[in-house]
Amino acid sequence: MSETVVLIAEEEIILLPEKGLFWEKEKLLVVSDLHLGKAGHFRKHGIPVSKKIHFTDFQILESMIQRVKPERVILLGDLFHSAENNEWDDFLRFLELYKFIDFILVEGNHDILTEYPPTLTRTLKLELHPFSFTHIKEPSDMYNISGHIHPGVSIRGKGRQSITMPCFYFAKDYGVLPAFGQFTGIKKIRPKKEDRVYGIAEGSVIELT
Amino acid sequence: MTDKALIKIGEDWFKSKNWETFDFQREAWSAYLEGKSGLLNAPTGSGKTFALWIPCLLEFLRDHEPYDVKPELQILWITPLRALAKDIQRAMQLVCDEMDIRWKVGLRTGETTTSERQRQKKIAPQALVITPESLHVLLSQSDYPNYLKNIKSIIVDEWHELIGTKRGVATELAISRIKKLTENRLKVWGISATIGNLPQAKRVLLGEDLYKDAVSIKSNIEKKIEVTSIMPEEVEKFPWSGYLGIKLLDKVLPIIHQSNTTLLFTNTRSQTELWYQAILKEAPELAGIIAMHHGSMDQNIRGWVEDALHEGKLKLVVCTSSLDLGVDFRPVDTVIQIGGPKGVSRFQQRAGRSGHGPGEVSKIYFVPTHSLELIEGAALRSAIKEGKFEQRKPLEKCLDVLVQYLVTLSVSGGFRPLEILQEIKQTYCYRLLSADEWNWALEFITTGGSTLGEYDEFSRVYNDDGVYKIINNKAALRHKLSIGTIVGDPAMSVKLISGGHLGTVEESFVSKLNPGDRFWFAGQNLEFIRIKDLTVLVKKSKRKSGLTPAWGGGRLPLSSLLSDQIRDKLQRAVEGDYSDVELQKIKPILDLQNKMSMIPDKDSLLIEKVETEHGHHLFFFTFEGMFVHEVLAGLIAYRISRLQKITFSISMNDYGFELLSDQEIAIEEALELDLFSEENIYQDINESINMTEMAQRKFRDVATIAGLIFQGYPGKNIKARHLQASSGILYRAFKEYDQNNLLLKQSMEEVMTLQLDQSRFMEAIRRINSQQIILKETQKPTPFAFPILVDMIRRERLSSEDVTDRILKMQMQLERSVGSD
Repeated sequence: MSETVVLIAEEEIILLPEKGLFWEKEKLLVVSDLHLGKAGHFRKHGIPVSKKIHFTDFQILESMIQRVKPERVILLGDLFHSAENNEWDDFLRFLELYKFIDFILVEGNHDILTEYPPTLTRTLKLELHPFSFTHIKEPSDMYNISGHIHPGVSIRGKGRQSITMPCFYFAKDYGVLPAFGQFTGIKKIRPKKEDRVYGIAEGSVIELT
Repeated sequence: MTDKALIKIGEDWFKSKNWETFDFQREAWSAYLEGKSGLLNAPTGSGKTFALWIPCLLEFLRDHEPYDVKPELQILWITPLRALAKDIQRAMQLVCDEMDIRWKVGLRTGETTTSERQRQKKIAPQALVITPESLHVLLSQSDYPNYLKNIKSIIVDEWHELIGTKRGVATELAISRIKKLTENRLKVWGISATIGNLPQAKRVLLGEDLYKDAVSIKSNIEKKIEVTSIMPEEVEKFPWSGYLGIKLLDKVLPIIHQSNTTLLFTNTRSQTELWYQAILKEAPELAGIIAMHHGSMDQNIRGWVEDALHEGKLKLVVCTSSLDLGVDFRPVDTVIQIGGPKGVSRFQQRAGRSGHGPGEVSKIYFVPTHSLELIEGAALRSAIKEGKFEQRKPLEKCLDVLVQYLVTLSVSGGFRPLEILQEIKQTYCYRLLSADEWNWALEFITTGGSTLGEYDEFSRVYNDDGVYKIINNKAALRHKLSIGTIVGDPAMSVKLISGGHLGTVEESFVSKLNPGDRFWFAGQNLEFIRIKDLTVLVKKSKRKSGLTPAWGGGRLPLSSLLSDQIRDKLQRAVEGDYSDVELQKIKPILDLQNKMSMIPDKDSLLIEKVETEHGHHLFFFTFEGMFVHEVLAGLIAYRISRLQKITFSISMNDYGFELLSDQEIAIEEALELDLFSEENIYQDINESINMTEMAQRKFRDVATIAGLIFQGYPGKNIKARHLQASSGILYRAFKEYDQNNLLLKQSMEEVMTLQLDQSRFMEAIRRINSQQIILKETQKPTPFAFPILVDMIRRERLSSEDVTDRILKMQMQLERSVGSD
C-alpha cells in the first residue's frame, strides 16, 4: 500500500489507495459513490449478483478507518444505489459498529431512500474552509470536491500498450474522487494539461503526468 | 383423393403458370404427403418454396372439403430474415388464391403491428410466416398451447443460415415444444443451400426422435459460376486493407454500365456507405438508378429498394449480406464482391444472385481491397471448381439460450421441469445436457444459482407447487421485450427533424458526435442536431464531407476450407507455378517477400522478428483465419510470458498474427522449449483466455441472452433505472464471487467452440508441429507483415508484469485533452 500526499488549496491531503481522501489535520475521511445495495437491487430484478461484493466494500472501508482513524467520515453521495433492500441493514449494522465516528452523507442522485438513521447526518452540501463538498461538481468560492462521475484515465506506452484505471483528479478550483464501490464502473475522462491526476492500481496511488 | 391425384393438382397449377415441375419438387410432395419429415437441399431461385408449400395445401385438400377452413394454425413457416418474410408470405398467399383454397397466410415478425397481432390472436391464420424470435414471443403468451396444437408441420427456410447460431438453437427449442403440443404428429422440414455437413444439418433441425426416419431430397439444379478478379494495373508492394478497393473503381464502373442490374456486395455497412459515395461522385449519371441496402437502414427504405429491384428500376444496388438471402431479383445479371468474402459457400451464394435462367452462368467479379487478397480470388475459383463447401457446425449446450427459453415458458403460465427436460433432450443442442447443468439452469432462474444464501431477495421465477412461474407482471414484460439471441451494440434510431425515420446507428458512434458534425448515412449527408429520447435528430446537409459511421460486429473470419486453399496457392508460388492470373499479378510482392524474408511452403512455419519505433514485433504466418489466430496468439503469448516478465499487444488478420512488446522477446529461447507443444495445451489455453479479454467479450452476449443485461428497448418506454451495469462489471463480479457460474464457463467454452472447433485448432497445432519453424530477422516489416501491422484488427493484451511496474515504465503518457481553457 502506498499513499500519496498532495497539496490542495494549500492544505495537505492524503490520497489513499482504497480510493479515500484523508484530511489529516481535520481527521476527516472522504469516500464517494459506494453504491451499496446495488447487488441486492439487481437480485430483486432477477440478476444474480453476490452480496459478498458489498462485504468487500465494508472490509475495505473498515481497514481504511482502522488505519487512518478519522473522527468524521464524509460519504460523498450515491451511498445507497436504489430503493431499500436487505443490504441497507448491513450498512446500519456498520454504522452501529462505528458509532464513535461522525458519518455525514452529502446526498447524491441515487440516494432516494426516505428513512435514514438519526446517527447519519445528511446534507446537500458541506462547507469546511477551504473546501466545499458536493456530490455533483458545482461552482463555489471555495475549492469544490465532488464524486458522481466515477473518473478513470488511460495511459499509453511503447509497444502499443495502454492501461485504464480509476483516478483522483484535481483541477484549479475543483477536484473529483474515484468511485469507492466495488460494483461500479469507471468513466474515462481526459484531464486538461494543468490538471493533476493520480491513478490507482494494485494498492498504489501514482501521480500521472 | 389418392396421392397421385393430389400431385396432379399441383402439377396443373404449375402448368397454369407455364412452369415445369422439377423432379425434386415432385419428390418432396410425395414424401410430405406420406407424412415424412426431411431436409430439402435446393438453391435460391429453384422453386424451393413451392416444393414444400404446395404439399401443405394438397394435404389440406386430401383431409378436408376445400371450403372447410377453420381458424386454426396449420403451418409455421420459419424464415431467418424479416426482410424475406413479406415476399414469401405474398407468394404463399397467391398460391392459395389461385388454387381457390380459402387459407389466410399471416406474417409475424418484430415489425408486425400490435393490432395485426391481436387480429392473428383472435382469428388464427392457417399459415404463419415467422422469425425464430417472434415464435418465441408466441411461446410467451398464455394461450399458446391451444394456438399451436393443430399445427401439421413446421418448415424452416434457409436453415443453413440458422444452423451454427443461437437463433438455430432457439428454433430447435421451439420445435421441441410444438412436437409435444401436437402429440408428436408434427412434420418438420428444412430447406438448405448446400453446406459441407447436410446430414448433420438434418439431424439438428429434426431432432433425435425424427431424423432417422426422415428423407433427404436434393435438387439437381447446378449453377455454373464464373469468377473474375479485377486486377489493379500495378500492385503496391506494401499492401494494406482499404488502400486498393476504391482505386479500382474505374475498372468496376464499365462492368456496371455494361450490365442490366448489378448487386455490389461489400463486407461491412461502412464500406457500403463509402462505395456508394465514391460511385456517385465518379458516375453522377447513375443518380436515381443507384440505391443502397444494409441492415441498419429503415425497413421501409429497404422495402422500397427491394421492390425497385424486382421491377428492374435500378441499375446498381450497393449492399451487405442483407441481400444474401431471399427471393430472386430477376433483373440482376451481375454480382460484384468487394473484399474477400472469407468463405466459399457465401461467395457462391452471392454469385447465385445473378443468372437465374436454366443453364445460365452466374457471373461474379472479385475486387480485392489489398493486393495480397488476390490470392483469395484464385483460391475461391479453385474451391468452386472442386465443388467444396464449408461446414456449419451446430452449437451444443447453450445455457444462455436455455435460461431464456425457461423464463419464456414461465411467463406463459409456467412449466413443469420434467416435462420440458424430456422435450429438450430430444434436441441436438441439449441431447447431452447433464443433470447438473439442468439443475443449475433451474436454480439460476429461481434462486440466482447459489445455495449459499448469497442471493437473498432474488426474484425472477418461483416454484408454484411444481409449476415454475414468473414472479410478477413487470418481470414478465421485461422478459418479453428482450426475447431473442442477436446481441448488437446498443443502437439509436436516426430521424430527420422534419420527420422520417432513416435507420439506426450505434450509440458508440453517436457519443463521439458534436452538434453540427456531419456524417453519411444511407447515402445522404446528414448534420447532427441533438439527441432526444434515444433518437438521433438530424437534418439533410448539402455538404460533401463527413464521417462514416462504424457499425460493430459482423466481421467474418476466413473459413478453414479457404485457408487450406490459400496455403495451397502459396505452395504453388514457391514451386514457381504462377498459372493463376492473380498470382502472376502479385508476383512482384511475393518476390519482395522472398527477398526480405521468404514465402513459407506447406512444410514450413515462418516467424519474422523485427524492431520498429513501436517496439519489438514477432509475426507468425499460420494462415488459419482470424478466430484461430486469436486463440493461438493468446496461447503463444502466454507461454512466452512464463519465461520472462513481459507485456504483449496482440493483433491478427486472416493470414497471421503479431506479438508486440516494448522489450526484446526471447523467441529463440522459447522455440527451444517447444512453444507449440500439445502438452498441457488446454490448460494453457484456458489460462490465456483468462488473461486476455476473449472470454469477457463472449460473456457480453451470453449475459444478454440469459437476461442479465438490458439493452434498452428502442421505441418502448420501459424504464430499467438503476439496473444498468456493463457486461465488464458483471463479468468481474461473477469471476470474483461466483466462479462456478455456468454462464462464465459457457463464455470460456464459446471462445473455443463458437469461434473454432477444437478439432480445427488441434489440426492446426499438429500441422505446425510437423512443420519446420523458420525464424527470420528482418530490417523492416515485410509485405506479409505489413497488413497485420497497420490494420490492427482486434487487439488483445496479455501481461505477466505488475501493473504498477508497467505504469512506471510507460513514462506516464497520459491521455489528455488537446489544449486548455
